[in-house]
Amino acid sequence: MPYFKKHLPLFIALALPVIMVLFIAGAIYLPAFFSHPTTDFIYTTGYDYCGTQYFVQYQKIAKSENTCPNYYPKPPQEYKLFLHKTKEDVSAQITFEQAEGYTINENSTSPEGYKIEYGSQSGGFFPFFMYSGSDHNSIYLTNNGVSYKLNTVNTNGYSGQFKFLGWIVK
Amino acid sequence: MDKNTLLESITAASKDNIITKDEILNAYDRGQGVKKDTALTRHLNIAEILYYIGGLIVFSGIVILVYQHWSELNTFSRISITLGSAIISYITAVIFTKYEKYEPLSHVFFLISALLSPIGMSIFIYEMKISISFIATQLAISSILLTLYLSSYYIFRKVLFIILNIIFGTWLFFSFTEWVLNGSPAVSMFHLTEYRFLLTGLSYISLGYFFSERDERSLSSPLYSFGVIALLGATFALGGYSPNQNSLWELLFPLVNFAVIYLSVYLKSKSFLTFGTIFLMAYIGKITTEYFANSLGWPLSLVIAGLAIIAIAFISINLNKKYLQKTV
Repeated sequence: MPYFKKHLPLFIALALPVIMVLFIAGAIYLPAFFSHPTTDFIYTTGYDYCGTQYFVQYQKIAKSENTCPNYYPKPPQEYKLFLHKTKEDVSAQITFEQAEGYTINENSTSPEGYKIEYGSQSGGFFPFFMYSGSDHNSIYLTNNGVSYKLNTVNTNGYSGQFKFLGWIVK
Repeated sequence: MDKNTLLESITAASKDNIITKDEILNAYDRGQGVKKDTALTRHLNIAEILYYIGGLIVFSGIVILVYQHWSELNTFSRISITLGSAIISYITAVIFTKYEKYEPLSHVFFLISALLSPIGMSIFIYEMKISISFIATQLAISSILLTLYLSSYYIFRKVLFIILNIIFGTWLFFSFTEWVLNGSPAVSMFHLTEYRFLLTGLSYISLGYFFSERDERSLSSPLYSFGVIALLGATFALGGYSPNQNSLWELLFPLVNFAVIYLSVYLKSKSFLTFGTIFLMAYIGKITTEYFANSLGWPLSLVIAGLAIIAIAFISINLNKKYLQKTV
């Protein structure tokens, strides 16, 4: 006990970072054991100002065809529709006709309380781990601090930007 | 001279400020034959200052050499110049530790090795095309170097290794938490960066207190300084700014600040008093600007803030004179 009492400040100094690491790991990974989002959703990838674009109207997926101006330098990048099965964490490309069959809730928050968010840009050098913005390569479902990384189709920044359309109403 | 007479002489000398606590302890240690590492705790002479300047110039030269001739150097050259130099410096320093009169040189070469090692290891990972993220690279480097310098301290018992262990340990803490977070948006949601600095500050203060009662007490002052800056800086940042302020931390900050100022008396630390005062002034300026600039008018709130800062400075100077003269 005298040894412990004599070295107590040292033990406190070493314990504080360890406790925080355990806390962070627990906050990130433990929620997966207690609850998991299950609501599927539809999203698109593609980034352009013209061509075929998808949106939600009257709880259904709709599309519009916008003609590109003559001066447009290249053919528009094709938007692709994807259905993400949240429980299995897999995405599958679907056609517009398939997407039309679903009823969509375009609220940003799912019935379970989850929201779609981009990940944080993890960069920098100690101690300047600066977050310059969102990481568009990673998509998360978040709810009150709990977050799940989603295995969506590689959005690859602006060349294939992720656009959430809505939650599937069952 | 009997023991009681000797002790009374020491007491009288202490009252008259003829002798300091360190001198008494050093004399005791000499009598016991205890050999202490004083290279970083005593005042450096001109030769030792030149050693360290030379070491920094060597380090700078190697870094500039590799940077300027990066495309001309092949893989082996890049690794051998950086990591190879780090290893050779370490071995050289170990050899110098065997000779007492070359003790200061061993510190310089240990320092060169510590500065070059992270760069050398980064280049090694890059050149070997080991496919890991930047964060994982930092995690690997900090953990390897922490292990190395913990072992070095166990063998050589040098104060320099304590400093290096603190630096690499802190780096490991930050990079490990980054790696665990793995880009999760929870970072910004929960202000985890601020909380990491807060805990780092508390750890540093705790370490500073630990060393204050040991032979390495010269480490206390810088640890207290960095610790209190991190603690108060993080607490200040957690308070946020209107309209995104966090009321809980804005209310807690003055309590933390006053605790720091109170501890300056208990720990006899000027760092606590100085930075506690500065942060309190900053807090008053922030709160005045945030909440009173519009209601009382900008000029009037500036007058109130200025008077409050004068009062704090007056109290701080008096605390310093009364309790902290002749302390760290």
